[in-house]
Amino acid sequence: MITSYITIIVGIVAVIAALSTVLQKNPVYSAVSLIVVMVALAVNYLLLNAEFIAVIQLIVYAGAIMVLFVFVIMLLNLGEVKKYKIEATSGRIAGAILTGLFFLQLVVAGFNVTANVPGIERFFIDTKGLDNTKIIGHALFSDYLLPFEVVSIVLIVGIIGAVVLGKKKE
Amino acid sequence: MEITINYYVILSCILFCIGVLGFIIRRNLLICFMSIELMLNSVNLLFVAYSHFLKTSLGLMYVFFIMAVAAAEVSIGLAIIIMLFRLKGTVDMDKLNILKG
Repeated sequence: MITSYITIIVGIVAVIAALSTVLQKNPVYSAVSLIVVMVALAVNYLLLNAEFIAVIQLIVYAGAIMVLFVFVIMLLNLGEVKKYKIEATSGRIAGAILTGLFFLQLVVAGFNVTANVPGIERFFIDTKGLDNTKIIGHALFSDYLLPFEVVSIVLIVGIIGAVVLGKKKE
Repeated sequence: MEITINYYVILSCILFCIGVLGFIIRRNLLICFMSIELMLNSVNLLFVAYSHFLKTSLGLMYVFFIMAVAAAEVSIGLAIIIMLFRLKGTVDMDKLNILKG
């Protein structure tokens, strides 16, 4: 009962903070709002019994990625905030209307998904006596070994790319 | 009061559409980039919710991989933004038209 209320409150906080992210004039305020969204989603993950994902969300997203964002905003020193005011041009209004239609379509599509996908039992993992982290660990080093290795290559490419792109030209 | 999967579908759709809206109406590259992060996060929420309600851990694996790819994407994207700022002195998308023919 109390978890239902917490879930709904956290959801409302996430939506308000997300709106604040896209509507703030100052990029620093946007970044802080995005951190609020990510923390709210981490609470949601905890309520959905995904402790490992919740902690990873806090460390990777709210920690690493957002610190990177704030660093870059400070580095670029985007002085004149007025420049980023949102004007209601015709393109923006059309975009907002199209986004609303897209939202309706997403909701309709999401409700038409049935939870009884035929053949999904194949993918069920026996979770008896195991916690979430253990299940992920088992799957990561057996069925998902190749994707795991590929992800390490992606991260290496990311590191090298960031260094090369951020380097000062002589 | 029982929270069903529909609540998470709606919440995820709302967050995703706010991300799309932000990407469309903002001209600041950094805020557009944050909108992309918002969209990725909303998809993660849907994965975790379905993984909980279908009682399988398959969705959690995908969330794990999405987060790793998002981390790499952010580092590359921010490096590109810094490079563009050095080149043009702005992060306004309308002023970045050096590829225009």
